[in-house]
Amino acid sequence: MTRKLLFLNGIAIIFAVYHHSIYWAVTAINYWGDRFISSATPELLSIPNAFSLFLRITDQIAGSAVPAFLFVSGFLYSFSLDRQTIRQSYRLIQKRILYLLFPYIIWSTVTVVFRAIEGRSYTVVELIRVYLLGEADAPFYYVPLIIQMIILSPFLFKAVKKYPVVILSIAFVIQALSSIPWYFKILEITPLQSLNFLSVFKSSYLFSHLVWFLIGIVFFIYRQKIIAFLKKYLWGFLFLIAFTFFIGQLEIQQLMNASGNNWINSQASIVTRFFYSFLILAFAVFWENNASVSRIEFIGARSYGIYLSHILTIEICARLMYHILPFILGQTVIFLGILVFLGVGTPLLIMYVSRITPLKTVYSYLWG
Amino acid sequence: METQTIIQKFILDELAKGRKKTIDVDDDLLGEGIIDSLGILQLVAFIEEKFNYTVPDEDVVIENFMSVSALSHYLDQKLASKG
Repeated sequence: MTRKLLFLNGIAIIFAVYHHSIYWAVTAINYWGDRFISSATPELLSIPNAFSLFLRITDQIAGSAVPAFLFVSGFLYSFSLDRQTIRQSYRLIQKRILYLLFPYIIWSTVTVVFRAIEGRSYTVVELIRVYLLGEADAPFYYVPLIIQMIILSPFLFKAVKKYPVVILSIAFVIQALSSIPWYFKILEITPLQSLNFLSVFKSSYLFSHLVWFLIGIVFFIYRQKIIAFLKKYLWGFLFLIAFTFFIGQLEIQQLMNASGNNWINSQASIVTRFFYSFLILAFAVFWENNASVSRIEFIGARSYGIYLSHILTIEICARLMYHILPFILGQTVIFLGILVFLGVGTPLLIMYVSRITPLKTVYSYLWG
Repeated sequence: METQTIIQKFILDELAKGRKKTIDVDDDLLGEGIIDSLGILQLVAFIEEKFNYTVPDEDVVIENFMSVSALSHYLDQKLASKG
């Protein structure tokens, strides 16, 4: 059981790279059409067909990356904090936060410098937001988020140990509430004044993501009971996964029709968020590692460094292809394959170089 | 090579890169930040590959992974009982 979490981390980082690569695939289809001749058009994205369904389904599944990271973190922090006092827990946490913060600051700075070279200027407030809220690039939000959860983890662990059902139920309700402003935004609805309180949840990643960290903690403490329960109700559980998956897809199509958008990121949908919770639990309970997992585990062990550095890598690759190999932009599946391969492979290569050069003395500060 | 040396070398070469140049067998691995929680997973994977021994879930507790000596002691016991 424990070892497959390393595999899950590996799959999750590949999913994260894929999910962010789709942004460039959609950008190519929507805005770079003059660079290639292909059947991949903006219209093709908005109507259900084999191509658009492939992109939407894979994107929906790949969106489980961050929930999976949080689940693994919740599980592992529970392992570290089990039978520790709050004081001992914070001693453990201090070092961990340090090795999360240093690479985050370095890669945020690299991103800011890259954007400045591109011509973007930052105000002081924007720079503060970059480091404090993870706004160097969209996926950087994950680091302040996980640090908040780690800081809360000694208390969360004790609370979950005592009241697992109550705490999880509250977290699910808060997560559902945090999705509602997303629907208002997509459908361009001005909410009633009585619903103004929802704006509290609007921009809080903690509210919308806490549930997966908590599921990790609950799973660590009660895994025997959870495994026995889910194995007993296997078919019902599989039905739930399939049901939330299909409803999530239908929901996205309806939202696209109603809003006129030709692409919607499904990660904030209430139904899809339930789907992620079920999918991760299904993996943790039913997945059996086989002999071929070690490469994915290798990637999983380096997931944090890949996560921080893949954003720029895939952006540079996509822009290079725009200039040098524009015909690939229209071959969406090949384009995505190249971006994922380079998005995972390039950080791994730089990590390897860091290990065999004098940079090895600061390896953990660069990559975590 | 004895279990303790193998584990110590793996931690030093793979997990503590850039964190510590030397580790003592009694150093608190998590407490001193020599490895992180993901490092525990890597240790479990390494033990399973190197010693051909599957670490049961119930044995993945902080006491067994506290230090190199605690881990090698646990592993020596398990490998001996396995025969």
